[in-house]
Amino acid sequence: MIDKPQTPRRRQRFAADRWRYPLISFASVVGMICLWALVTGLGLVSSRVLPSPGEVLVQAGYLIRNGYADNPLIVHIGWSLFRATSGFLLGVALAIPVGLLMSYNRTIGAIVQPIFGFFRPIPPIAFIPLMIVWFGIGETSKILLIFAASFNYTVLNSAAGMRSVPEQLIRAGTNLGLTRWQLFTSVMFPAALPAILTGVKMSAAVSWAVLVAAELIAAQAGLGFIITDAGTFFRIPDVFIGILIIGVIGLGIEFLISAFERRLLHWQGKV
Amino acid sequence: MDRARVKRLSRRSVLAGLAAAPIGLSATRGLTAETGQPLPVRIGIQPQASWLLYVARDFKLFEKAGLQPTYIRFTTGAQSIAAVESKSLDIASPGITPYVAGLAQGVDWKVVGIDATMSGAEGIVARADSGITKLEDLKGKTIGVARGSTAYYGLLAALKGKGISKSDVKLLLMGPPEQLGAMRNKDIDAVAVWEPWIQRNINELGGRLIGMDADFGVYSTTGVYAVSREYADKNRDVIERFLTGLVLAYQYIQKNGPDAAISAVSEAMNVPRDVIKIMYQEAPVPNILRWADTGYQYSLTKGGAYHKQVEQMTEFLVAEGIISKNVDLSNAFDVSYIANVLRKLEKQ
Repeated sequence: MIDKPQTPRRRQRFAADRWRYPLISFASVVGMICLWALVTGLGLVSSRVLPSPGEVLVQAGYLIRNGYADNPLIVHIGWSLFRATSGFLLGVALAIPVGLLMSYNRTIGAIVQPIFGFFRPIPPIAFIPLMIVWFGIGETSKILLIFAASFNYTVLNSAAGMRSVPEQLIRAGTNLGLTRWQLFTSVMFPAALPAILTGVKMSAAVSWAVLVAAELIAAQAGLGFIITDAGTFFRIPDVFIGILIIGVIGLGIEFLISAFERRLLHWQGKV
Repeated sequence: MDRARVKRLSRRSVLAGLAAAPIGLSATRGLTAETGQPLPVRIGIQPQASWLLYVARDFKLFEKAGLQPTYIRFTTGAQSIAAVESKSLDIASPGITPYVAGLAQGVDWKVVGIDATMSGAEGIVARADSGITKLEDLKGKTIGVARGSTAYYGLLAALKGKGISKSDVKLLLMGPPEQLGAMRNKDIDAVAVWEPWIQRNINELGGRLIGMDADFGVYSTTGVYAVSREYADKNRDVIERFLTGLVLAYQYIQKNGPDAAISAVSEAMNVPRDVIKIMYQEAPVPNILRWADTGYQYSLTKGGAYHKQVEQMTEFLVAEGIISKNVDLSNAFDVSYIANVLRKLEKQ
């Protein structure tokens, strides 16, 4: 496809399109909140099981002023950010080279694939008792649990990305006289990047999802701690706040990774 | 199903047939005269020392009392709050702390019975090499405890009695399984926990028992039977038949000894019989025949000793920020159901 010349009219349409979809997304979120307010306002669901947006806001203000379980809210958020980010970064840092190697080298792939396949369907929460016994109740066990979940998704996608590099590209590179290393770095790795980044995004999301399970391991603070502790005492607004904060942070991280992806894969979609 | 279990069930079935029948004939004649069609009821059950509940279940004493029970298993009392609130459970058996937490969150329910009295089966265990031999030695030490639990309250109440405040110790918040791991790894010096975890800390890790809640004057460590007020208003008969089943279970244990109760709880908790036997000695069956007696430690009567203990515990939960506001416990316990059942029992 040859880029058409940028006439004023086309530039206008492009500018309008640029804002259309973010506006639709924003309207979707606002719509959900309005629906939530309507359902609770009409009393269709008991406020004890679904607090209204207003109640959640008021309770959030209380938590910001007074903290939860002797810790300010920012401390809880900080601990969760530390654990989720550490587990995620460690997982991704190891998963990308392992995933690429698995596809690049069939012997290594044959060795590790059945092991990963065995562990893949087992939920991280099943490993909690073992994590405590092997690694104690400190941060190591929590971060390792998140690392394991994060690693799983990125390694799969990295391997799949590597396997799906078009044969024509590899042949073209070979014909152009590229060395194996040049072929890997200039052709195969860039071609696998979209799949790798998809895995990274999934790993980021799953790191936060597993955080709640990880913070069952004797966490003294954290958003997962708030959710579990508040749930024990039926403090539903606090459970909601923990969930909402995790959701907002997760959304923020996804936006960041997507923005990074757009810059890195600027060539994607163009021939 | 393994052979040992089949053997126990067979023996239990025979015992049930022999022992329950005379009880059924004599003790329930007056109680069950008006039963007619059995009434359905959904009962929450947890792996805890619910001696009466498990005996009644295993020997079909609720059926004898005119109920058609369905048992719903929960791992924690907190889950039963949501179940009662969503009307998917009729009679819950939470600990007293989840019950009060539910009240604080506006759950409109009340206590109609005492499930387990654990003040003699909850306490403090220290690592053998921690240098802790008495309560005073806990000062400056690291203690594992589940936040907001009766063990948490018992620990701080016990320490307060010795002039030790919360800031004089380091509390690490964790549940019983994490406590076991932390003791094993020497991450903590002691735990405040309930059975069978006390025995596990002692038997598996060589821990030293410092004392039980009852030793420190704390008697609020209980499980309760709770129902929503809405359900109670419409189903008085169900509740009374439920309590009748528990009375039958109590009479069965008095007549035949605690073996059946110990076996049932051992199976439910998946804990060896020897440990449950110790637990039975520490936390015997609550005397259901005295639940309406104001002189009884665990009486349901307003203003009784138990009521006062629960009020103190509630104030503590508010002070700790575990519940957001104090709750009015004046109508939290309803003794009328058991009083009626016991009156019928006396008449026959």
